[in-house]
Amino acid sequence: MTEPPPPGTSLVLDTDVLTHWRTGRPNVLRAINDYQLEFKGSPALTSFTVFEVLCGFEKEAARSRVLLDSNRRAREDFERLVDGCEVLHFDRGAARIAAYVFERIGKSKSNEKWADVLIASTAIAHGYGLVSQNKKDFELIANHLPAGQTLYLTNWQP
Amino acid sequence: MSALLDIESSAVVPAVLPHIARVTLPEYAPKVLSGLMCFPAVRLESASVRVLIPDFNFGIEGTVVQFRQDTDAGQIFIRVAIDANVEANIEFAGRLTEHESSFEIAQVSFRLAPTKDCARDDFVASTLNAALALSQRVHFQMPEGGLDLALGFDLPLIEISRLLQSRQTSHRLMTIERATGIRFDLPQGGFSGTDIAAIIFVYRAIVDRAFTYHLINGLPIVIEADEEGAKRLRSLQESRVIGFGPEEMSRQLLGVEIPLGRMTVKILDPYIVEIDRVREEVAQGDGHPVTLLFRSATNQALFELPEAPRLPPNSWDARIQALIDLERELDSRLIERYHALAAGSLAGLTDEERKRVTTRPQLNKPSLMAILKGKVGL
Repeated sequence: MTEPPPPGTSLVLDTDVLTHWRTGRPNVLRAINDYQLEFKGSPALTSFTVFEVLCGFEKEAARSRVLLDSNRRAREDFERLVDGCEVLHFDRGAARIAAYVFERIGKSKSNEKWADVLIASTAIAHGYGLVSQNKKDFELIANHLPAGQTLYLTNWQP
Repeated sequence: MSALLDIESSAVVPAVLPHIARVTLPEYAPKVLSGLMCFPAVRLESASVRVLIPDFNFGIEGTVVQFRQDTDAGQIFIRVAIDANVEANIEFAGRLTEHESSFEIAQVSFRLAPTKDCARDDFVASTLNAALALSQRVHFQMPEGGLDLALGFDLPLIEISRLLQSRQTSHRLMTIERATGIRFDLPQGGFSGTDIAAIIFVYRAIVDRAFTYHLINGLPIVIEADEEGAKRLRSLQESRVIGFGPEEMSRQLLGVEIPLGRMTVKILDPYIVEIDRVREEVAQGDGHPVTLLFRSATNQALFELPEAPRLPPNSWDARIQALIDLERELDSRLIERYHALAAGSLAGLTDEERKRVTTRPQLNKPSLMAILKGKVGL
């Protein structure tokens, strides 16, 4: 099941919200400002989200064969941003949750939503709430969590 | 079980607060940006030192308590008392000039840390360290030594963030100490989630007195399985807020019991857990006790503690107040740096490139299995 994060819950960003942060979406910038006031730092990222973003840069590098300066500088700033954030790793606790969900969510969904399963499992295992605009998919995942586990989910909608 | 125990055990479970390690204060190697770089080779014990942070419109003065000079090694060390229990250790590396009248500074190392492990000292040290790291330029002046250095401090954002977290925790503890007259020993290994939850709770009871806080496990009410119980159940179901108390409340904080006076808890967005089972039980009509567990759909409750200790007026001296007042500027400078990096991670890319680098990778289940088996490091 999903529930709103209780006040005081540390949050981790889903990849879509990180993208909105990078593109400067006002509601996300405002929410991160508010988060900083309370937590004195940025929301966390999962190692899987870092992987997804780095794939984007690698895709460009592989495509153009040489790393363009603009791409290199953008990637450096991303790496420095990651250095500034807590990165939640896909650890044993997350693996247990993900495996449980993965084998219960249904074959087509597990093929389709595996990235979200890993991100949600990582957030839960570390006791973080998740910020995502992909409410429907995470609710589906949350409906297949092991007993006693809750996904704290918020979307920072404008 | 008394209602007090119900409230205390259920209402303040810190299930979502992570452990916070004690921050290791940084040892800086600031860049020498500009200014007079000559240091007279005279003894400077008791000389005054000014640290000016123009970006924050803030300055602090200290006194040299130790001066050591090793001309052969080209090193000068000074220890400066910045606050009662906070010192700066500064090492200058360089060489004496030809006439040996001054010292040409090539490198500086700087560490500012408390000498005692208490909340006020930790607050002063973490605030100043964060302000140094978030400034473009810091002036370090010793009028008696004719020294005016402009230094550039640098620290990774995550470390600045940890300094601000440490500052926040120390400020809260300092406030609790002032209001209650209790002195806390700071835990060496860091604060557990339970410690942090207790610090936040007691701090807010003192400062806000009525505040919204997390309520995860819910609170119980017992009714009887009879007509009166059924009527009460209907009335409770229709309530938008369910109140508990007032009850005497105290919190254990770093091994010390803090009395907070009477507390009322109002569950916001309440619902009854397993309502169908409860209805069935009440409908049995045999008078047996039925426990209803109220939870909040938004995991929060309003806590009112009107009798909690109070912070006396004018609690802080001018120096501490000035450091407290830096909060907004510290927060805003840190988050601007984060925003700049986030924006920079797409800067200079065309719209097409942006679209490509932000498209999530399409992987199928075998690819995932490869990742999980360690072919791609996660």
